Amino acid sequence: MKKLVWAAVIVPLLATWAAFWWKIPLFPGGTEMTKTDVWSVIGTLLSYFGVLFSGYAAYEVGALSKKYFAKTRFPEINSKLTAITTSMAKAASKRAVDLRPERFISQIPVSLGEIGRIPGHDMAKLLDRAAYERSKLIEWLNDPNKKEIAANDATIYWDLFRTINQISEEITAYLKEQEAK
Amino acid sequence: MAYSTEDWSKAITKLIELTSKQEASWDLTSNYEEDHWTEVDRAYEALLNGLRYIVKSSRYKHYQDEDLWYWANKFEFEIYKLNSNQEYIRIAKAPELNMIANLYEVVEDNYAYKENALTGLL
Repeated sequence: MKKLVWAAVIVPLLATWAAFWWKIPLFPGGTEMTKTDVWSVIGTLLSYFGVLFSGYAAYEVGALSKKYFAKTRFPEINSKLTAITTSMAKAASKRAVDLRPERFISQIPVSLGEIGRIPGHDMAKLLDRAAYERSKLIEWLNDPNKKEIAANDATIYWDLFRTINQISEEITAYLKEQEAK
Repeated sequence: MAYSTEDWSKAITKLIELTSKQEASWDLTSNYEEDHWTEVDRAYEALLNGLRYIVKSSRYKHYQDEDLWYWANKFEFEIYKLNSNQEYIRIAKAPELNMIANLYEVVEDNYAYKENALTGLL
């Protein structure tokens, strides 16, 4: 973005300078440049730069507020994810019937949604995977044949556990990167 | 070839799974490699597949500048192997992962259960 702005500053300056150098008639009328013409060229350039810079400032403010938003939201979401994985690890020896009322099952989509609403990260694939694995886990929990089986023996339970952990690691990495910037 | 963070997280997940299935049994230990910068508060070991797994809860001084610091907590996971002199040598140390904290909590719960912490009260 910075390069683009610099190009937008330098190219018109060079063009004006070249037009003066080779005496290309920029204005209707005679080839002679009057003082009025010179001032009007300068005025046009200045107002052009004004528009350019205020546009750039607006863009940067947007980027900054996005960054700030992520910085304030992510630590909180990360501690929620950690709480989820902790309760998942502890509940692993429970049977499917006993797992159904566990809170983390309903907390997972809430946290995933919160991450999805934060702009400026690329975790969409991981989030999709977690949502898919959660729906698979719910299918498994509701399977009448598997009522008595412990969550330990369900591969999907550990897959979901790992995906959520991975999301949490990604967030930690993201926060570290932002700190370094 | 080297193990990626992904491999480590798979391995630690597997260990959590084994622990909660009671297939890996943990005991307190004080036999591990130390460094001067961290203080180990508690360490558990498990013997499995001929390897010794250790999970530690430790503290280190987090320096904010040259002489301003506070205690910060971290969890470490290490793997030891018996060498020809019958000594355990550290062969691997996990990268810093949030899930090691999960492993530690599961291990601690498992240990409390194994030692019948609540017997006589229930």
